[in-house]
Amino acid sequence: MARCQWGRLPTQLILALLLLVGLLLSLFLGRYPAPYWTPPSALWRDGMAQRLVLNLRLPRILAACLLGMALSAAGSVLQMVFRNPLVEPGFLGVSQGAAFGAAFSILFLKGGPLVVECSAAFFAGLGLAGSYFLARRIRFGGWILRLVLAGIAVAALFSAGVGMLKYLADPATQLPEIVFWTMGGLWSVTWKDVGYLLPVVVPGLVVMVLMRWRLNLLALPEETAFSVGTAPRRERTLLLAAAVAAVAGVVSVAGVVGWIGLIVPHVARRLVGADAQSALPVSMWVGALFALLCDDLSRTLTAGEIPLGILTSLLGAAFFLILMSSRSVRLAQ
Amino acid sequence: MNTQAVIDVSDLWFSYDGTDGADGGTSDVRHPGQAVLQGLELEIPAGSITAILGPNGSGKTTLLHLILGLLSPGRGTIRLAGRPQASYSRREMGRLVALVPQSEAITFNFSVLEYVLMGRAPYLGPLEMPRPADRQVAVEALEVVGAGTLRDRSVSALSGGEHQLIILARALAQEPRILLLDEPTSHLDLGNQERILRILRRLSAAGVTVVLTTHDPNVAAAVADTVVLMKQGEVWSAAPAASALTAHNLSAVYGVPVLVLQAQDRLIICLATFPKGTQQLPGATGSALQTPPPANPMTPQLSGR
Repeated sequence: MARCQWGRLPTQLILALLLLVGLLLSLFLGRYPAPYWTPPSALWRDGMAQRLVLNLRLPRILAACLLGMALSAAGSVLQMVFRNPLVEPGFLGVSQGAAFGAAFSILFLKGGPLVVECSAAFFAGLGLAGSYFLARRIRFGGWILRLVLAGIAVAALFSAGVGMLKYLADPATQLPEIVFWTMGGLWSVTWKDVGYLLPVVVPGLVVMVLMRWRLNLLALPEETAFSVGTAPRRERTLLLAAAVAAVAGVVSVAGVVGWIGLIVPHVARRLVGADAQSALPVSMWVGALFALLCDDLSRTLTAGEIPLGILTSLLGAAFFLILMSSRSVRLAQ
Repeated sequence: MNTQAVIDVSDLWFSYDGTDGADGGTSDVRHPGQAVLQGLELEIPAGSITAILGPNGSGKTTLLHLILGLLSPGRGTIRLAGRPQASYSRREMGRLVALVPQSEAITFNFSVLEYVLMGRAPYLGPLEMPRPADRQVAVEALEVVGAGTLRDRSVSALSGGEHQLIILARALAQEPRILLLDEPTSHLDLGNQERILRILRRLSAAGVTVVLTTHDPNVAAAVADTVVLMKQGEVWSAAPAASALTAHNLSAVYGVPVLVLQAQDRLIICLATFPKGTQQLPGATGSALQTPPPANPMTPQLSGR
């Protein structure tokens, strides 16, 4: 009842406003000129602060928002398409695939960021397809169990592959780049990276948002989805392609950032219910906020930089434990 | 074809082993039972209620899934409303045929209304969201099945009977011309069975063609115009309920002695296995047709009507 009276639009408005405030505040958070805070007046007086805010912080903040949105939207899509609330891009080999693809191209293809991104996207898709077909071939257990098993296996294969590539990599030039990939972080983001991100991530997000109601249908059991006139295979493929594109895009810039894609969709469903019509957009807002918060912490907390992937895992896992152990939360299935 | 057949199945072969199914029964001499459906022929007239009866594994659910288009036939054709099934788009199929599956595990915690609204999908474009008019249809569908008060409940908090009702409401929201139901009464108590059967009768009166599978011959006797008895992927008999549901037919199809009683103008069907303690009566060999005194107040009744 409360859910209906509360309404869904206000939730989204509040979240959008929060994100806007977060964006503005983040511009002034940092370690220049003094730790934690750049006074707004410095923008006029200090040319260095100005360049810092416009050329380093702004693209990084935008990238963090895109990262959060892409990972949580993709997480929602994967959870619903696979009818499994425990799925996230990392579980199904998408993130590890992307990391492997990136490491592979750093080592052997030696192209620019665009090559790295394409290779990441290709291997991300391969990871997902691998998990999916492996799950179909496993001969025991329910669909959810099989999918998780297959995903773990594929993710482990790619992780092993990344490990192998690390071993082969030139420790002076290539290794740091690969290590960055596996821990995740946004410290190297420039406007050019944001430029690479936008054309891949935004179309993916747009497809997911536009098809969000269909997502509900695909989350139904196969017979029912078919009965209501969907073309499950086609629609699923389209949505998965959009999700993989978005994830591969952000992973190619930020490396593997875990937990956002798992936690945020749960939080969104807790806020507005399971209907993806509102849960998907809410999940994107919350994802952007969470990623922004984690990135702010990772760049201001210490003089060095805490890898983003470590912070999202830390905060995400803590949050997940609270969510799971709180009595009012019921995990479907 | 005196009345227009809305479902017309001819020479339908199907097997789950991935091949086209038609070989399953014919080429492999040692495993003649491989194909689930073996040259099935069936015509179902518009606006009728047809009950499909048969032992487990006789291909009832498979047949429903083939009519729905979820499975595609190995050989043979299915014509719906005069057109080959393959010529319909997925959306057209969603408006023509709705399925009420036997049970449904819904992973996410949708509200009942959100769930029933999904039945409106075939009337919406790929990027459209349900409109107020669709909401109206969904609410009415819930009223029709008598579950109007459940609309804001969460689907995972429903009892088995309530769940069955809202699945039916979702199918009704599709406004189908053909309604397929797989064991619609198997999880229901007597009151809810009666409710579902009454809804089916009303739908049929409104011109909807209803096809249901059931394990309970009494359900078929209570509601069906036509009863189709299936055995090993073939139609054993398809006839009006009264002439199909004989002890002889049922005993032959199920391979156990079945008793068909007649009381108060209805058929009561049960196993001819007798309760513990009583020995099997002489002569109850499967063709028993007994008529107890009609006015016996202890005569069991099918429904409280």
